[in-house]
Amino acid sequence: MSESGMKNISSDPTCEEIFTVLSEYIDGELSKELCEAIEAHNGNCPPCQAFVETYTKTIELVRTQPAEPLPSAVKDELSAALKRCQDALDQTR
Amino acid sequence: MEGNDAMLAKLQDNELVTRAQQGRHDAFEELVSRYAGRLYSMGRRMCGNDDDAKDMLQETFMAAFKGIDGFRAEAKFSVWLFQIAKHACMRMRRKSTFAPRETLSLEELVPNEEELKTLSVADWRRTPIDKLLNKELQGALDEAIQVLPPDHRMVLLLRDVEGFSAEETGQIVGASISAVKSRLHRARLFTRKHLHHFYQDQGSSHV
Ligand SMILES: [Zn+2]
Repeated sequence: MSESGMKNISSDPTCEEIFTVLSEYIDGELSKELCEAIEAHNGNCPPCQAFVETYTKTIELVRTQPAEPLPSAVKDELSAALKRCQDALDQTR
Repeated sequence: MEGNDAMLAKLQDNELVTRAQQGRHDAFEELVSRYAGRLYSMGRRMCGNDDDAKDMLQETFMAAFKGIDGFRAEAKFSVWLFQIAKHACMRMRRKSTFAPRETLSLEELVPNEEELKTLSVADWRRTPIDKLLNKELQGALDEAIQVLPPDHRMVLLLRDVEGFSAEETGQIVGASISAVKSRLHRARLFTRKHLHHFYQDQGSSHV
């Protein structure tokens, strides 16, 4: 984990320390011990709990972005452009 | 030729690449149909408008078509394709007058205690995401992503929308894993801050 910039935070983390590792915490990249220390802290610190939960919710929202279908005009233009490429290549073969 | 299309649809990306390298245009077209929608969505968010996204999409696939012989079998096709798209996006951006902010300072993004006290977490945290995601919130989210600095926006889209790993994202954008993580954290913090008022006093507004 060292090359990933894993931070060293104490077993009794401060609010600031928690803010710095939130991303790795959400992505499941912290040790079990650190996760437990963060959860213990949050249990006694409503601001951190609120912060972690709003941060998590935000990521969930980003991850659930609906996939938009490719507009048919865009698709047609893309096909035409590729066809020109393919024809040009075939002529050289 | 229906049977042929159905057969191609079952193949892995790299198996299609091998066929495309042998001159099978239908195999390349199957790859196009797999990735065009995703690349166009990312292009719209990166370029900020539909026309540039369309150009970026064409440029990406034409470059991929011409360069497919140089693709190495041990690489991952999606990573290779998004690398090409990233370069196409950068060229588009140079032509564009759209200029989002370029930096994100952590101090700005981490809330103070006063702000945190105002979050009424208990209320919305049980709300399912599809209920929470109304038009207004979707608009705010789009806006947040749009005003992120491009480097941060790209990382957020690749990691949290496209689902690439930190390592793959680093390969696509040409950055170290630690740089990817730092940008991702800031991008997420920025987006959270932008949505802040939705996390306060949700009360009855989302029923
Ligand atoms: Zn705290």
